[in-house]
Amino acid sequence: MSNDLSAGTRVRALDFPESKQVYDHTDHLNMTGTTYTNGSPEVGVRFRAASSGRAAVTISTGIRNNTTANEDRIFCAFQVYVGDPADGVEFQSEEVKLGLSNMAAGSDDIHYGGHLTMLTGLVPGEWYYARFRHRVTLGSGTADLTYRKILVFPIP
Amino acid sequence: MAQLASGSQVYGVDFPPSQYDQDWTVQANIASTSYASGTPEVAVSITAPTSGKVLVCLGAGIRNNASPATNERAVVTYRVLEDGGNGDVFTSESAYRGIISPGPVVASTYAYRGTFSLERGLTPGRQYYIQMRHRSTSGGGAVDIASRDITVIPVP
Repeated sequence: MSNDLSAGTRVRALDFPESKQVYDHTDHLNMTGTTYTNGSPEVGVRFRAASSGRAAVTISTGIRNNTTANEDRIFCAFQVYVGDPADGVEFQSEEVKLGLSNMAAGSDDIHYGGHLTMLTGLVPGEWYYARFRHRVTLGSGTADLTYRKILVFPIP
Repeated sequence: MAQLASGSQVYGVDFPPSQYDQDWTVQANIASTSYASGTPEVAVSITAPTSGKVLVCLGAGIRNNASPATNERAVVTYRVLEDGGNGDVFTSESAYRGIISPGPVVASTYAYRGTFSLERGLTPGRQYYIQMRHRSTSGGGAVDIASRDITVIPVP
């Protein structure tokens, strides 16, 4: 290596690859699926791991159960793959405790919210794919989802 | 002062590591109206960055399990202690910086939610202990917490 840097020279850190965010407002109404699905369109981001091996994942959503007749809930979570989903190497499976759900019944208004958690143990410089996933708990066809967002950013 | 070769990998003192902790032990029938840490504690120790600012992100799954429904609510928030937890309270608990369950809620189902808050004025380089704390609003003993998580990120 040549061209030594003087003290005080501004340098570009390898530590901070690009932040990524995708959102979609397509309504998913009267949902019945009790296994996790991507929805349409899929809301996912491809991101590169920072040298820390850590990233913050935030999902945000707008959800409701549009009846007082049952306690159906919408579980919103994220899933992370190493490389691409087609490669089939899952890094983090869906877990609602790291995501969001609605109040069960008695409300026809949409709840909006967000939840941030941390991924650790990523391989620095490696590419990953994180996507929004959702399901309902009862499948009664009364639960609606109107907004999905996923944001991933590198953290120290 | 030693010089760096162009392309050398450097690490900023500005950004100590982010910290994360979670626990999914159910905290059942919370009856205390004063804040408690629960068992186990969900907490992180972090070094303050040069900015003196960190982002504190919380998540929790909360319910009111009373039947018929009551107005009792659970508050999940955090406090900041100085000197790695051995010192004074730097920031005390506040519901404004936390997650509160709406009441009355249909019994038995948990809602998973998150929130974020900026802590300012930390002394750069000092150790702080950020601890999740919870309480009941009325002491009725009908509120439960299924999951707790905390991510703390040094920010500019």
